[in-house]
Amino acid sequence: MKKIININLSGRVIPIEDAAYENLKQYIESLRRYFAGEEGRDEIINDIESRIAELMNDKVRKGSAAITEADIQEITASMGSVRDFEEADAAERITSEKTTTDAGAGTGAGASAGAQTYTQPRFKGRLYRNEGDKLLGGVCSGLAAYMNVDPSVVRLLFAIITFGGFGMGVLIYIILWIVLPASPLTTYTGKRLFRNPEDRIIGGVAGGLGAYFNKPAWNIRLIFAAPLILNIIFGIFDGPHDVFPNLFFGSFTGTFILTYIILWIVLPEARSPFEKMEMRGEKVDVNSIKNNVQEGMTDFKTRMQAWSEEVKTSAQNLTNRANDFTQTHARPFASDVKATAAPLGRGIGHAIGVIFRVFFLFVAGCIALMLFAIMIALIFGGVAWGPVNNFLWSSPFQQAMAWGTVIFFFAVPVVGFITWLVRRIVSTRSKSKYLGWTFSGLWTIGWICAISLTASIARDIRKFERTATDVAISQPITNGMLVKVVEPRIRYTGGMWGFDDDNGGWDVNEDTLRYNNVKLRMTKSEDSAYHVTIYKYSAGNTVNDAMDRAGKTQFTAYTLDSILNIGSGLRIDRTSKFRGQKVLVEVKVPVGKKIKFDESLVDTFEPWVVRYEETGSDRRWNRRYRVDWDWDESFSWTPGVDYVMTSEGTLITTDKVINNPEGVYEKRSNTDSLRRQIEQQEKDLQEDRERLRDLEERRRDSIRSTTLIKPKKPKKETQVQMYTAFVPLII
Amino acid sequence: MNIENTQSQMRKGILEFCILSIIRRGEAYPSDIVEEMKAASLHILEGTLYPLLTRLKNAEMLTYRWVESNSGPPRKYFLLTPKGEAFYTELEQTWQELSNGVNALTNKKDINS
Repeated sequence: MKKIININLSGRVIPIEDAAYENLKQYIESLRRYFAGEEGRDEIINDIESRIAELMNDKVRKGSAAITEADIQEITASMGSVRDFEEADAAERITSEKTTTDAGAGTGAGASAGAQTYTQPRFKGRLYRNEGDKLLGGVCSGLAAYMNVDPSVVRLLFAIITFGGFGMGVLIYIILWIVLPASPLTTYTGKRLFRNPEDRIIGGVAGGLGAYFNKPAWNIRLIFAAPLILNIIFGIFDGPHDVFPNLFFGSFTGTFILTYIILWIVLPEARSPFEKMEMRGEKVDVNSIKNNVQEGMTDFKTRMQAWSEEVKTSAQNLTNRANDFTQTHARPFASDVKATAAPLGRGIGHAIGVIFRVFFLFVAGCIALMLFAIMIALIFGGVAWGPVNNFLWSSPFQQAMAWGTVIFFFAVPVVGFITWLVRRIVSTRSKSKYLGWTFSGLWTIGWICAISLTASIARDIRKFERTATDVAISQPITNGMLVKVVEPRIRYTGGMWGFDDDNGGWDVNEDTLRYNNVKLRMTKSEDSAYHVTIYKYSAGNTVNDAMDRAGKTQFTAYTLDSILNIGSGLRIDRTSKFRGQKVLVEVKVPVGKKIKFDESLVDTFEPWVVRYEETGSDRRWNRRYRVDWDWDESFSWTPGVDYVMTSEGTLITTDKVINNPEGVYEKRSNTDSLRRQIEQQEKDLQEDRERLRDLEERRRDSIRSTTLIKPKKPKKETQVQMYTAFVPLII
Repeated sequence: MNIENTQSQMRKGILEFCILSIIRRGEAYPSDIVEEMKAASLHILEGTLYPLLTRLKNAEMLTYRWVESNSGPPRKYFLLTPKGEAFYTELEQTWQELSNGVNALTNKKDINS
């Protein structure tokens, strides 16, 4: 059974067998390549096409139902194949003393090789930089031409050497760039790496690789899919939970999928029959390398002689070359540089340009590698990581958006960047505009996800509320109250994703989150008794929600004789999620009564957490509190020192405190220091009064001049404060 | 030194001369040219003829005319321009000289051996 199609060739409609059509297309394509350098190329092709059409028409008129492969063979034989033209042209080429090319050299893909040989003869036996096909200096391309392999492969290998060998590749490259002379060489005509459109399941990557390595495509597919399949199997054994992240992002799966995607994007599809021929290649690369090596070995001796001759002459020339460098070498180098980098001029400039470009690619590569690592970390750990999963996302929607953000917002630009870099390394020109559009589209989705996620989280923390609980305490009889922490400082207990934190202060497991965001506030008691109140804060969707979450926060404080024992941190379960919960312990100290802080407070809580300041309310935003994040002035009380509550509501100490560098607190009772303190306070008070008077005066002035000054809205500030309050906790 | 190369080199030199001489006798269709040359046992591939004609046309030695055919679209018929005519006469002269000279030489060689 044969498929017959109708084609229109130069105005004639001709029925032709499918296979014959393929042959014809291939033939015309080979002519097109052959005449690529010719002035009237299109005209020649048109003339030939119309002649072929005429010949085929004759066949049909003589009674053939359709043009067969045999017919095409006959026609092409009468017209002549590219190889025939080549022979006819060989003479011309010899006269033009270009090279002693052998027409058959490297004709991996018959006709196409003819075209290549016609335009660019292949230089054999000497290493050049390839001017015809280059990215930077044409070194890789030249090496590829020398070994007769696919330049893409050499470039990829070079990139691997560069990344693996800590920049060795760069050095080698620069040396070769400077040492090797440039020459336009024929590009590789054998096998090339393509995606195979005829043998594809997803993108034809495996098919193309299979064609390249002469292996069944299914083997390659299996290699790509193995981690995924294994993951699915393990996922089933592991139980139904968390199948999704494992499926796509478990261990090697992600790497393989990414590799596939990148290859998918980087490799061109073998569309034309020529590219298909190039993809299959009649010669195996390894063989051609072997042949080359064998060839090289046979005339090794002659080559050595030639080489020593060359060395001798080049040694002689070297001094001249060095002298002429700026005049001879600099110009091509400069034009090299001009191509992509800024025109840096002649002389030393080009060298800088060269280094700049190599450096640029190197840095870009490093950045890509780093981004890649970050991305892998994000994908592997980020969203599905227990703590985040259990304590941050309040809805499946939020989690989905988080996934979207990670994949589209973070991963897409990284993949795009790596793709761009790899394409640059293998010098694939972008054939379709869709690539850019696809990336932009995906990134847009990423933006949408990121914005929805932010909006959703912002909605969840719209309100910030607190609950107050009074702690029943026993009144201290003598010496005042001692505040201390008996519970040990919260340490990370491990067990989640192998995360290790020596610093402590927080802990998390599957269903509990604990951290030490606890603050202390000392105020004046209205009566003669000590009072302790615990305020629990939380953000939430609504006021009730925030109150509810605050109420669910677990924190304990109790007294034992004169000791106020507070918990080392607060505890949140996975149902109430992390919403910036924190705890404030307010101790009301009667005037004239003493209070002392135990060393354990400083050990248990973060120094910057302890200080807390109330600064007023903003009704509009329902955020009544603002945290003073003063990092320098952390814990404003010295542990182990007796403080006394004054009638102004401040604590003063009767001990002189010397904070020595070793961190050992030395205290000495001193009435002088007390007097000095009082004097200082009075002085401060005086200054404050003056400032007050000054302000009062200014206010009166402003009223007089009827200037309206809009009251400042603390809205923005509070908001910022709110978020900064979250940052250290999230980080 | 390759015999085929030398042969094709020799052939190449006279190819244009032959083609011009055929066209000079009257408007010619490329495949007719091939036929005529084949008849004179000077084999040429059509594929090589077209580029040659295009080159000559671009050098203003030739021009062409569309001639309606009874089957299918019109065909391109080539004819000589005055410039081509002059070129041809010069080539002819050279050819005469060459063939005379070569004949004289080769014949002489024959006698010697």
